[in-house]
Amino acid sequence: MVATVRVVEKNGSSTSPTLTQKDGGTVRFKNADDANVDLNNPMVIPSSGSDWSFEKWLRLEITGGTFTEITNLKFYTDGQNNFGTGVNLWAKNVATYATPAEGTGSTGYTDAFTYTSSAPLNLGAGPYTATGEIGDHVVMLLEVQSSASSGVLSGETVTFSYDEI
Amino acid sequence: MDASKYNRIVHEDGSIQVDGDGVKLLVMNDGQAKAFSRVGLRVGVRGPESAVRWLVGELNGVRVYVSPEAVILTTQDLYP
Repeated sequence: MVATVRVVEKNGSSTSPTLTQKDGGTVRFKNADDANVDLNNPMVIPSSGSDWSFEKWLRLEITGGTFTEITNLKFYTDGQNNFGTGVNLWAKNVATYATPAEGTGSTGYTDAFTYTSSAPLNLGAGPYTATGEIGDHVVMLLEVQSSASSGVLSGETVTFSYDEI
Repeated sequence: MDASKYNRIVHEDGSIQVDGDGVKLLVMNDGQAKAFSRVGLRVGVRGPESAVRWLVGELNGVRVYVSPEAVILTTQDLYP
């Protein structure tokens, strides 16, 4: 008696996005709108200013199982940016999906690492009782500044949480 | 504990039982009682650690969180 819930990355058109499961997997920030974890369309270190990734849209989805209700959706990090100097991760919650666009700045976003288990980002109180996507999206942007080091960065972990009865 | 294993039962006396992966938590009907599970799904982690489920009991505002590693008694709202 348990709900089957996953975290999905959404890509493509606003009317019929492609959903890719990402819990237990990797989100690769890049200069393209796709969920592929590859070396195509990499972020670049600019000579000045910042290189902004395409937006990453993540959301919880109930795909099945037996449960009464899901409530209290949250998003958080470990609070420590281990990407290194000159690399920032920004996040915000958005209700309605839009085709991911290349970022242009951090206006409207918050440093993702300020969202911790002690101060998580609220994604929806619920209750959610049926299958389908639930709660707000988490939209994230990666910023690479001129002071960043080259190479593939070590990974970071983010957590989506919910209560189930 | 294994996030795929979870059951919740409300007994006739009003007590609430939640259990998962061999652990049972029973919240007696002695006041404002709740029992549920709290799940964390991780992006950027592979394998069994990518999903964790805690059992949570609450009685008159005091909560007990049961994880594979620890039992925590607190009034705080904790997340896995």
